This record gives sequence, structure tokens and C-alpha cells, in this order.
Amino acid sequence: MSLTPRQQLDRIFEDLFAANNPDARIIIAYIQKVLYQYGLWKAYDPKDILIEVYARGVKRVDAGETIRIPIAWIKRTAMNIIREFRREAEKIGYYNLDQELHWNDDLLLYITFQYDLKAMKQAFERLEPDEQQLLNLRVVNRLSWKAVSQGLVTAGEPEFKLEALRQRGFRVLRKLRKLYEEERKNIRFQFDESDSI
Amino acid sequence: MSSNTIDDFDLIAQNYQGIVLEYCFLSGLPTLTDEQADLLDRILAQAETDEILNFLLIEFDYLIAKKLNLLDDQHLPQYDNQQAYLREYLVQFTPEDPAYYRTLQKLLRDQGWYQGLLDGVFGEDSRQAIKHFQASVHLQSNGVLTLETVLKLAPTPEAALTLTRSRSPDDR
Repeated sequence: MSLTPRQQLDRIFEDLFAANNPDARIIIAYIQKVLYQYGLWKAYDPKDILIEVYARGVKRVDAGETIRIPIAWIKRTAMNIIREFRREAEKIGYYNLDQELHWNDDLLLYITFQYDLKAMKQAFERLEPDEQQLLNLRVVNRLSWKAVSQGLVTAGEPEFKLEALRQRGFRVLRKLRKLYEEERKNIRFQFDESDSI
Repeated sequence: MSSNTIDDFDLIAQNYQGIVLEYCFLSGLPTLTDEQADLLDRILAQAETDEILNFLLIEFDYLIAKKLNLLDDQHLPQYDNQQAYLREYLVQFTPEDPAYYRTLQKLLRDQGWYQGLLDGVFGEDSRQAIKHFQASVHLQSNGVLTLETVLKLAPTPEAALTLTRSRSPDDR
């Protein structure tokens, strides 16, 4: 039986905040960062914002609208909620707006697009072919785990139970980021070496 | 290589460098003006329909968070607690059996929150009733049928057990 839009929304959130999902911490950290940027980090936790995001998701699907790429939608909605909360806080003269935070000002020096992408590419190439295929199906094509499972079976892979497949997907993402960190260090080292010559 | 996979990195670099760098620049600012926030909003809106951009932004979110020490030992335990809370909070009961919703409607009606039909359809009237009930027990009043809400609504532990066992199997 196919899921209703509301059930699909619930599955998105349950999936995203499942214990082993490596994207969960990144999204929470992203929201923490926006709370810092708007001086609201003493007033709200990321979870407060995410609960409001979820409530807006419910309204959205009840109104017949779809959410095509959930993580992007969650990030955007969270940022706009925090902007609204900031405006409200200013309106009522909320006293606890605090901008003080140690902030690194050399972020763009740290992030070098070509080198980071190169590290990503090398990390991706170090994944097994079946892991690469899983990422492409899940991450790029945004397939549900059920659809990923069907896609893999069609490609001749054995059938996985959904929970096992989901855990495998999480492991692959974690592995990718670990490899990515390794590759990034190597690339940065080469880059720094050549730069200093 | 197909253009709709993440292994075509040269093409990705060519297409996304500008937007990703702009995103990183804006994401790394200590505060945002309205104009800067609008720019970020536009980038995020684009990511809502572009899987590759969404993937890249998440990976760069990871880098940014690392650089800003938002994934350090001070923050991570807090995130894990919040993640656990969200798992609990956002678990919603969505059984396919209308009898389940009739039971909920009856509980809401018995407690004076619902005046509609016991039709097993969890519509706007039922959601409003849940909202009022949630407000009365100091839960977030949003009409979402969470585990916490159901447990508070059930009159006895036995009833709570029956309700929470009615959940449909996970078919993600």
C-alpha cells in the first residue's frame, strides 16, 4: 500500500533523524550555525527549530504541495524560521540576543573548492562499485530505500531488507566522509608543499 | 559517465563552483544582512530542485561546521541528545485502521476536546482537538500525533500500550 503524503513526510523525518544517519548531525550543526548568526542561540536549540520545520511540513503536504529534496527544503525552511524568530525578538525587545561567538574569519581560505572537490572525487573512487551505485541511487536520484532496493535487484544485486539497506547506506556515507577527510589532508599537504616552494 | 551521477566531478566543478563558493562565503559570515540572507535563500531554493547542488551543499556544510568548531566535543553530545529527542517527538502514529482513529476521537470527545463524528478520519477537526489537548498538557500545540501526545491522551497505561501497539509496520 502506498504511503500518503503525510506518511511520506513522517518517513523523511524519521529516516533523517535515525540514530545512525550521518546527515543528522550536519543538519543540526547547520541550524546551530544559523542560530549563532542571528544571535538566537541562547533562546533556541536546533531541535526547537526542527519541530517548527516539521509542523510547517505537515501544513505543506496537507495543502497538497510536495517536498522534492527534503534536506534542502529543511535547511531553507529552518533558516527562514530563524529569520522570523529574530524579527519577532527584535519587535518585542527580547533581551537575550547574543552575537558573541568565536568565529573563524578565514573560512574561504580553508575551503578551496577545486581541492575539496578533488578530495571528494578521490574518496568516491575509493568506494566499492556497489557503494558508488548505492550513493548515486539514494543521494542523487533521491530514491526511497524501497526504490533503491528495487533498483539494485534490477541491476542483479541480491535483495536487502530495507533496514539493512538503510544501515548500509549510512555506512557508505560515513565511509565517504572518512575517506574524504583522508584525501583532503593529503591534497592540502601537497598543495601547501608546492605552495611553499 | 552519465550526467546524472555524482562521479562526473569535472562537470560538477564546471557547473557549481560559483554557487558553492558564494554559499560558503555567506554561510561563514558571523551575521547576515537581509540581502545576504535573501541570497542564501535563493541558493537553498535552487538546491530544493537540484540533487547535485543539494549533495554538494551538505558536503560543504560538513566542512564549514568542522571549520567553525560546530562538530567538536562540546557540540556533538548536545546534537545527539537533540537527535534522540526528535526521534521520539516526531514519531507519529499513522495506522491504516480507522478503528484506531475512532478510539482517539472517542478519547478526545470524552475529555471534551472533540465534538465531531467518530468516523475514524483524522481530519482538520481531529487535528484541532489534538492541538487544544496538547496546549492543555503543555506540549507543543501543533496537532501532530506524536508518541508523547498519545501517551498523555491515553487514560491508563494499558490504553496507552494498546494505542502504541497499533502502529503500522515500517514500510519505508
